[in-house]
Amino acid sequence: MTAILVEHVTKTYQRGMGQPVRALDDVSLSVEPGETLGIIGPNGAGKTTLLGCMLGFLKPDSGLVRVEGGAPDDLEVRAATGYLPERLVLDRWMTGVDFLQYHHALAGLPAASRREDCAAALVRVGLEPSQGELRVGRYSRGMLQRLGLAQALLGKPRLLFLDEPISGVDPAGVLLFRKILGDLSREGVTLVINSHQLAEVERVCSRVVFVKAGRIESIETTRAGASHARVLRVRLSADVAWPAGVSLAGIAAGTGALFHEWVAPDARFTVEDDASATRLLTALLSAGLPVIEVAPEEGRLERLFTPGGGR
Amino acid sequence: MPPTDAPTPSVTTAPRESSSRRDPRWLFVLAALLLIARIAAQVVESRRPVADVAAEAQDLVRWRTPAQGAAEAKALAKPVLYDFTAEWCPPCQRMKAELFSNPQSAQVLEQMVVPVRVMDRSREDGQNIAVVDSLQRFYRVDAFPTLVVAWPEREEYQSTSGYMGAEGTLQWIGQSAMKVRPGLSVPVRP
Amino acid sequence: MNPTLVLTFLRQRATSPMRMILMLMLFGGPLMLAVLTRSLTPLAGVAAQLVLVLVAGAIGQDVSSGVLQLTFARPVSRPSYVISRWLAASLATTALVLVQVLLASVALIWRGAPVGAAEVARIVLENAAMAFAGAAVMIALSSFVNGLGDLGILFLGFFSAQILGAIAGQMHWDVVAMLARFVSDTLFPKIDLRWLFGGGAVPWAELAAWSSTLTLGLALAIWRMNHRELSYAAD
Repeated sequence: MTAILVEHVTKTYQRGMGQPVRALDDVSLSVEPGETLGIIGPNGAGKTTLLGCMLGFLKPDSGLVRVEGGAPDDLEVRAATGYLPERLVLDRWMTGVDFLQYHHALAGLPAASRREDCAAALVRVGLEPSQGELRVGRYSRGMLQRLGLAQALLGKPRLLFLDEPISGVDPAGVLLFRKILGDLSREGVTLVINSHQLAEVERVCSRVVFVKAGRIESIETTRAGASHARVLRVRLSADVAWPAGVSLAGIAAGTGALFHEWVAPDARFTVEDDASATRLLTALLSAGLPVIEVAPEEGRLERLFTPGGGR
Repeated sequence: MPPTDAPTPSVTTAPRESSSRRDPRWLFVLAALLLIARIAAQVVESRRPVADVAAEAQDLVRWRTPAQGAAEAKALAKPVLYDFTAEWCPPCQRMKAELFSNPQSAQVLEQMVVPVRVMDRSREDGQNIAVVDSLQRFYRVDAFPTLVVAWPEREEYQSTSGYMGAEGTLQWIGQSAMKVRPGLSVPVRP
Repeated sequence: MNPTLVLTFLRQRATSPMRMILMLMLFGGPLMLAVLTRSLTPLAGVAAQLVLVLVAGAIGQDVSSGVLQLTFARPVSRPSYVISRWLAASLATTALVLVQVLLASVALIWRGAPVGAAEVARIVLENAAMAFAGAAVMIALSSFVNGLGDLGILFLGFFSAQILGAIAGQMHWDVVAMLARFVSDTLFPKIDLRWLFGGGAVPWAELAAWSSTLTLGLALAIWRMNHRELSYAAD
């Protein structure tokens, strides 16, 4: 069973007196259990609408949304879901602990373990117990985000929806979030992350959905998995001489990789998988080439945003 | 994670018992029925002659006898409101139905004045009892309803005849109560 | 009915200085008046105002502040959210009035004024009826209007109905007058329970009106929340 199924979903808004806006236009998507999916796209693309449909806040005009086989606004689905909204709004009079306990109770979790669960959640997101006792009105942006994540993690949800999770978070926090998301992924939690932080998205997500003007323009696969192709950037030293008669294209072809271009000091190759990458690098080094650095190509996702970008 | 060999999810509508948006149909039906009942009752009520309604209306004002009223007014330093009225007089019935049966108005009245009812029974009994007669003559009552606001043991008083509607009557009572207060009152021709 | 929602709602109300000051005034003022006039009548309509202070903006403010989304991300059914707010405001108001009436009764007895058990019971029950129905009306309004707009609609509607009713009375426009009375009776529901405590005809029309207002208010609020799309950020 897919974790999240979106089938031919269309959603139109009536914006006051103006034209109706088609926020989502025949969008289809399926998310496997345990997958980490990123959603990126320009503002106004419909990402928040898509997230809203998946969370059961919005009903599609046509099409189907199913989470774990059920409607997203079913109580059982809600109980298995955690959500971190883009702008966390809380009653200012609550303390951090109050807030967590409130959500712990709302989630229907047992009162007996409430205190420990909430204390543990605070620790997990790197908040001190003393900070937990402060009123949330006094929280910094970064603290609020951490608290928001803690709230989303209560009850060990099987699905987690994060809307701009690291917005306003300091670098230490970003590392912590990355670690937590990695742990969650290993535990088999399905993650859906809506974010403008393309570098993080690329790093953390296994697939990235690019949404533009209400449609899914492309779905990129990012995570280096055994069966996933990627582009390698191989940097060669400018100081050391190359052996004669070496052809980058030839070496690449011999190992099953594809040579794209040489723009000094980098050469770009596409490799099919990890094994192919190893063969390519071995071949390059055996040929005597002064390889000084190899890295997966970054900035793939940025290219989606440029006109004519994509591949 | 490699996709599992799971059967494709059925695309039938998911069961709605566990929905977070389940409409409580029984409440909607009940609300609709009660609304109909209420409108029907109001329509029926509005068709009944005012006299019947007035007869049924509970007079919420705690009317004192003239003697009680005078004593209480003196003790509490409040003016007396004399309601000169008769059973057979339609505006008096309307005043009872709209003003004296209204809890809020009755409450306001009690705070402002000490209410005394002076019921004329000359038509029913041929003549009135002495105290009614003397009060009617003292305050020159010749029509019903007549309301008189007077401060105990003082000459000045305010009076009005006819029914001015609930709001108007209350306002008049309030203003009169102010006017007859000692020290503030302006001598008024009865 | 969700106890967590009920308790948190009341706690949240208690942190608003404006609301607490108003409630203190509505509690102390009529109480003092009752003691001074040696009569329980000043307490006759206090629940209508108390419940307003507690319940205004109950749903509308959650919507404008954005808190509602996070609430409904949890396994909280929308009907239970509505009912919890209604019950919280109604029960708290009734409890306050009960204390108020009991205190007044004690004070009155101490000052030698007669206080009947029936009168006490009647005033408390009438206030409770006002609280439960009044809260239902406000919750319904609050589910359609954001922030504290429900308060605005309430007073706008009430004053319009009063003015219209007065005009209609003068002009003998009977249907309009009936409509105006319908609106003002609905916005400020009340009930007279004298018939319960000492005979007199049962005012069926008034009972129908009160129970209709109560059920209609709740039904509207629940329907609205069930079918409403939470306005998500315009992305």
